[in-house]
Amino acid sequence: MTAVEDWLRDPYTIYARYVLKLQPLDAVDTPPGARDRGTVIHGAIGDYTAQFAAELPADPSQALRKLGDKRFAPLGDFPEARAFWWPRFLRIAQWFVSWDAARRDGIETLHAEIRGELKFPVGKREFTLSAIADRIERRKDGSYAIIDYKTGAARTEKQVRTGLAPQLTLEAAILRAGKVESKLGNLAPGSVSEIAYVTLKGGEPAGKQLSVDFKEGTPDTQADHALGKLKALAAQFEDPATPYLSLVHPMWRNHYGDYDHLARVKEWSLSGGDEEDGE
Amino acid sequence: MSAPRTIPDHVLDVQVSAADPDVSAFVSANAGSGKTYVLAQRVINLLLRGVDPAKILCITFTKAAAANMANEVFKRLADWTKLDDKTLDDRIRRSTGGSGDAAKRARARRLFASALETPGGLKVQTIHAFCTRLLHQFPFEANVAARFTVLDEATTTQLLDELTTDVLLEASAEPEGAFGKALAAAIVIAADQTFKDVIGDAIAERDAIEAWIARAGGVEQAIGELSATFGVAPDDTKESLEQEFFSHSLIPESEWPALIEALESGSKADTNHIDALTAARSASGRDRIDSYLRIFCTAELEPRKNIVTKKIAEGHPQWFDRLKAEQGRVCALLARERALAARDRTAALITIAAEVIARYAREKERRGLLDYDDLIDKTLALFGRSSAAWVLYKLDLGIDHVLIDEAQDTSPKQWDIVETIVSEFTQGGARPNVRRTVFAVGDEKQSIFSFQGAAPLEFDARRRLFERQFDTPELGWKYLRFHHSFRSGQNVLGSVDRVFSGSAVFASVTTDAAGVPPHEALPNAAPGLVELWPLIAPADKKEMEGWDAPFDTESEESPRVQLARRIAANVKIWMAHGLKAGDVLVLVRQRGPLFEAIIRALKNAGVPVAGADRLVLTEHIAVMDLMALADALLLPDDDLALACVLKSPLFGLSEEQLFDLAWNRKSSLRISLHANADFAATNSALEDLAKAARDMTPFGFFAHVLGALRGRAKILARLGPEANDALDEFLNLALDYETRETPSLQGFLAWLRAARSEVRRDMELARDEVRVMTVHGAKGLEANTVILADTTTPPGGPRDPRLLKLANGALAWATARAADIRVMTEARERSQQDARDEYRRLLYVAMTRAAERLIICGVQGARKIPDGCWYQLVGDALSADCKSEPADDGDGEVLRFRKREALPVEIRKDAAAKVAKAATLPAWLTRDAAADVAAPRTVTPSSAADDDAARPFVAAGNAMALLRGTLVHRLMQSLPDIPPELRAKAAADYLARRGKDLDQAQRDAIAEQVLRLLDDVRFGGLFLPGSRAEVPIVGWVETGGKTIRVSGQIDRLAVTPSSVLIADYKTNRPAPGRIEDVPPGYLRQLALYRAVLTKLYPKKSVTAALIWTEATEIMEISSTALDAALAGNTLA
Repeated sequence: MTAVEDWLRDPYTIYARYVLKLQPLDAVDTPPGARDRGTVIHGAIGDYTAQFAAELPADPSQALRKLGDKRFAPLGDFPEARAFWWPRFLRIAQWFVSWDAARRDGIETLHAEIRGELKFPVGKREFTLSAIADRIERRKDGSYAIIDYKTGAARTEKQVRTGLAPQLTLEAAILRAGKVESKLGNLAPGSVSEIAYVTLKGGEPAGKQLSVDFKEGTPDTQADHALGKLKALAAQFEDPATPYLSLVHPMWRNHYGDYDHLARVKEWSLSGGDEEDGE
Repeated sequence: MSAPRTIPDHVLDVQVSAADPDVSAFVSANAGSGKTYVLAQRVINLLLRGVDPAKILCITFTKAAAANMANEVFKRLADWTKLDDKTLDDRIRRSTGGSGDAAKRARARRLFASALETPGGLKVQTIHAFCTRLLHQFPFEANVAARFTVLDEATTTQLLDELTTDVLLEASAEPEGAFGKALAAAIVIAADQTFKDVIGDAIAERDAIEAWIARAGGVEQAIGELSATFGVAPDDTKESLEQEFFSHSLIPESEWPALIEALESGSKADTNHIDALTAARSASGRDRIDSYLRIFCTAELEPRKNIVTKKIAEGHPQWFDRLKAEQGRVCALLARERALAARDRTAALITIAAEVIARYAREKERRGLLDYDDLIDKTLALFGRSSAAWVLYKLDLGIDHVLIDEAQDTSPKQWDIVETIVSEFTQGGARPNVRRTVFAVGDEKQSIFSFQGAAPLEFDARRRLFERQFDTPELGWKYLRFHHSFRSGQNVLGSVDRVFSGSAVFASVTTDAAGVPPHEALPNAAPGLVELWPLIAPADKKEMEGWDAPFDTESEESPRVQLARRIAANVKIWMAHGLKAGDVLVLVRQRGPLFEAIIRALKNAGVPVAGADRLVLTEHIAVMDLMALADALLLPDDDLALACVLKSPLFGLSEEQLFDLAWNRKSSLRISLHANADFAATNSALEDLAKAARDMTPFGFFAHVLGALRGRAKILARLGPEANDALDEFLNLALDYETRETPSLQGFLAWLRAARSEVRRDMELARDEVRVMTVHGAKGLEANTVILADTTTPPGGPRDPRLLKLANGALAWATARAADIRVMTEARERSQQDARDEYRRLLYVAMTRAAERLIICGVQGARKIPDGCWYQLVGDALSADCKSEPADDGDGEVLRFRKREALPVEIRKDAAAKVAKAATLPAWLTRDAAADVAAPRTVTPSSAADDDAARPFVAAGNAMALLRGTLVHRLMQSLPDIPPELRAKAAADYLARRGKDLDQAQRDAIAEQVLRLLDDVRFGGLFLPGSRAEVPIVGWVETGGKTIRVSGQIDRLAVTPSSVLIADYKTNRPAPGRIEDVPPGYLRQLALYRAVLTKLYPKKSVTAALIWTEATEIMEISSTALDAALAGNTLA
C-alpha cells in the first residue's frame, strides 16, 4: 500500500525497488532514528490491539507496558534511545488505554493488523491491491471505521482527498468491495463511516484522534473515487511507453527517499536538461 | 571597479588623517569606504616611522581576515621595494601626507625585509590567537595547564554531545533521581531531538547560566529564584493547581443547579454554559476543568469579553457579579498553570544543562583543554589578578600600538581585554616617553554576528570610553567618519540613505541620534541604478491532484521557481550586454529552497554559477559516489550501493545497462556483474578496486581512485569543476582521519557520516561565475550587480528563540507563544527587537555590496508580505521616487530609482509592450556594435578605460599625457560651477596641488586651454550657469521600426531658450583631429542622446559635440553625421 504512495510521488522508487530489485541496506552501526521509534511504539500499540481485540485485560496499562517492554528489548544496545522513548511510550500507553476503552463502547468487533485485497483487471492482467490496516472497527451500526496509528504527523484531509495520501481511502475501497480476512472469517463488505488517524507522540497531549472530515463527499464516495483513480493509474503504467519518472511531484522535487542517489537527483536537479526517465 | 577614479582631495585627506600613526583614532566607516585599506596604511605608516613591527598588535575578527590583512601589508611593502624614487615619493606622500626624501625612501624600501625578519614579526591576529599566545607565556599566573590545547569548534561540539548523552543515560537509569525526574518532565514537552537541541542552546549560553547559578548560589537556589520570578510557589504542582479549580471555586458545584436555572432564560450563548456545566459535572480530571473553563474562556483560553448576554447580566446581577469574579479567579489560575509549566520545564532543562556544563568544565581541566570562551575568560582573569601586575608590565613593554579591524564585531569581553592592554598607554606605562596609540575601525551598521557574541552597541560605547582616556592635549584623539564609498554609485548609495532615513528604521542600525551618516559616491563613479521588481505571487491555487502526479510534467511553478527563472533570464540578458557572470552576486538570507532554485535556474540557463558557498560534504554527489564505492566494496551484498557506483561517473553505466544487469537476476548484483560477459571490463576494474581497498589506507585508496584511475577527471567531466572543492575536502578528511584513528575504510565512512563536515567555498577568489550566497557569507565582498532575492521573510531571526533571557539574568525555556507568561513575553519582545535590528543591519550589508546595480525582488506567499520585511522597507522608502519602466527582460515594468533625477522622457507604453510580446530577446541585444550605448552599464567618462583596453598598450612614457588628461577632465567638470571671474585662479590652484609633476609652463598651458574652451562662443552655453554636469538620461528611441532603450549619462548638458547643447568628454590619445577618425560608437552615442532629447524638446534644436581632453579641443558633430550614425546603428 505504501507502494502506491511511492508510485504517485516518485515512480522511480517503484522501478528501482520492484523492477531492479535493489534494496537499501542500513549501515551496520546506525543508531536508531525516528523511523525505528515509530516501529517500536507502533508495534506495541498494534500488539495490544491485536491481542485484546475481543476483550480488554484486567489491567490494561500493565498489559500494554509489558508489550512495550518486549518491543523495546532490541533497543538494549542503544540506551540513549530507550532513555528518550520509554518515558514517552509510557505516556502514550496511558493515553491509549483510556482512549481505547472509551472507543470500545461503539464497537461490535475489532480487528488489528488485518490484511485485505482487491483485484481488478488491467489490460490482460489482473492487478491486486493489497493492504494491511492498523485497526478496523466494525461499528455497532454495521459500518466500518478505519484507523491508522501514526507516531509522526497525521495526513491532512486534503492530502487524503486529493490522493497524495491514498492509503486509507484505498483501504476503505477494499473493505467496500474486496476480501478482508480476519480470525473471525472474512469481513462482510460494507460501508465505511469513519476514517481516522490516531497520533501517538507522547508529548502534551500524549495522543490524539483525528478523524478525517472530508470537505466533499463521505468516506464511501472518497473510497470509490480513489479506486477509480488507481485503476486509471494502473492502466496508464500498463502501457510500456509510460516512463517511471523520478521525483515528478514538485513537493518532493529535491529529495524523496532511498533511491535519490541512484536516480542521480543531485546531478540533474542542478544541471538540469537531461530527462532521466528510468527506462 | 578598474576604472580610474577621481578621488576628491577631502576624501583623501580624511584617509590620510586616519592613517596618521601619531594620534589615536576611532573610525566609523560606511560600507565600502576603504576601512581595511586605511588600517593597513596605518600599519605601514607606523613602520615608516620606525616602529618595531613586534610592538604592533593588529586584531582582526577572523583568521582569514588576519591573513588578508598581513598579505595586504606585505604586498604593499614588497611593491615599494620595486618602485622608482618618484613613484615611491608619491606613495609616501599619499599615505603620510608628507613628502618623501632620500632617508624615507631608504627606510620604506627596507620595511619589507624588516617586517618579515623581526622575531615574532608583525602581529596580525584574532583576539583568540592573541590570548592563546599570552596564556602560553604565563600559564602559571593564568592558572591554566602549562601546555594546554585549544579546543576547536568541532571537537567542542563533539565533547559536549558526549557529555550530554552521558547525563541523559544516567537520568534514564535512575528515574527517581534528580536528573531522571528532570528528563521525565522535559521529554513530555519536547521530542528527543528537540530536547537535545534545547540543551545545546543552553550550553551555548553557558556563560549566562554559570553566572546565574553562581549568583543564586546553586542550581536549586536558581530554580527557587525562578519560582519567585514566575509567581508560583516552590511546591506547586500541576495536580495541586488542578485541584484548586474546584476546591477554591467561587461557585461551588452545589450551586450549579441554581446557576443553570438562571441561565435557562438566556439565549444560545448562555445556554451553551449550561451544556458546559452539565459536561463538567459528569466528567473528571482535566476534562472536567476544560468543560468548566468554556464558560469563562474562549477556545484559545482568553477570558471572554462577555460571559453572559445582557439579558442575563441585567436579570441576574448577583450571578453576573459572581461569574465575573470567578472568571478572574480561573484566569489567574490558568496563568499560574502556564507559569508552573514554564518553571518546571526550565528547571528540568537547567538541572540537566548545568550538569553537562559542570562536567564539561571538569573534563577540560582534566585534559588540559581550553575552548575559545576560556581563552577570553582566562585572559581577563589573568589581567584582573593582582599577582599578575608584572604580566601587564611585561606586556606593556611589548605593545605600543593596538589596531582593531571590524570593531563592531568585538564582544564586550573582548573589548575588556583591549581596554586593559591600552589602559597603560594613557598612564605613561612602563616607558613614559614612547608615543603609543590605539586605533579602531568599524561600522556598527554592519554588525551581523550577534550569534557569535558581537554587540553593536559596544562600538559606540567603547569609542566614548577611549575618547575620555585619550582626548588630552598630550595624547591626542581623532574621531573620524568615512562617508565616501569606493564601491558604489550614487543611486545605490542614495537608496541606502533613503531606506535608513526614518528614525524608526535607523535606530536599528546606528546609535547615532542623528541617523545614518550620509553615503557619498566618488564623483566619477557610475551612478548605477536601483530596481524594484514586482513580487511574484502564487497563481490562483488549483488543488493538487495527487493521482495525476506521475504524469504531471507541467506541474505548476511555484513563485520561487518563477523568480529564479526570471533572475536567470535577466543575468543572461546582461551578459549579452557585456556584463561578466562574476559581476553578479545573488544574495539570500538563508540557504533554502529559493537559494537552490536560483542556482538551478542559472545552471539551466547556461549561466556559469558557483555552487552553494557551503554544503554538507556527505551530501555532495561526488562524495556520495565515492562513499557508495566504499560501501559496495565493503559489503558485496549491498546491491543498491553498487548500482549507485555503476551509474556514477566512475563507471558511467547507463540506466539501460543497469537494467540489463539487475533485471530478473537470481543473486546479488555483484554476482550478476561477474557472470555477465558484456561487463567483463567493469567487473575486473571493480575487483582491482576491491584489492586496493583492502591493501591501502582510506586516503591512499581514494587518492588512487581519483588520481591514478582518473576518477577525478571523470567526475569533473560530468559534474563540472565545482566538484573539486568537495573532492579536495574529502581527501583532506581522509588524511586527517588517518592521523587520529586506526585507518580502516569502514571506520572512515562511519566517522565521515557522523561528522557532517561542511565544505566552504572561497567566494572571494571567484572564477567568472555568478555567486549565490547568504548575506553573512557576502560580508566584505562586492559585485557590480547585486540581486536581493529573499526579501519577504519576516523581520526577525531565522527562528523563534527557544531560550529567553529574562531581565534578572535567568533563562526560561520558551515553547509556543501562547504558553508565555508576562516576564517571558517581555523577554521575547526584547529578543524579537534585537533580531529585527540585526535583520535591518543585514539589509544594510546586502544593499551596500552593489557597485552599480542593485535589484530588489522577491516572492509573495498566499498572504500579504510580512510588515517590515526587506521588500517593504525598500519599497516604502523608494517607490515614491521611482519610475516605472519596461523591464530588461521585457516582462512588464519594474520600478527604477535614481537619486539624481533622470530627464523625464516619456516612456512609450506601446513600445514596451512590443518588446514584451516578443518574448525572445530583443534583436538589438545581439547586435555587437550598439552594446556600447544600450548597455545597462551607463556610459560614463570612466568607460574611457575600456577604450584604452581596446588599443595598444600606452607606454609608460605617456604617464604625463595620462595625468594631463585626468587634470583636464577634472577641470572641465568643476570649473563651470565656479563664477567665470574666479575660474582662472581656481584652475591655477588646482593644478598647483594636483599637477605637481608638471612644470609651470605645462600647468599654465592646461589652464589656458581649458578656460579658452569654456569661453568658446560656439559652445558658450554649454558651460554657463544653469548648465549641468553628468546628467543621467533614459529613454526610448524608435528608429527604423525598432525600439532601442537608451540609458546613459550626458557629461554636459545645457538647455537654452532656443537650443539644447550636449557634450561628452573623451580621453582618446591622441585625440582625433577629423570627424572621420572619431570612433563610430561615440557618434552613435551622441546620436542616441540627441534622439531622446529631441523627443523631449521637440521645438528646440539639439547640438552635440565631443570634447577631447587630451587636445583640449571641442569638436562639433554635424546633424548630418549624427543622423547617419543613428541610421547605421539601426541597420547594423
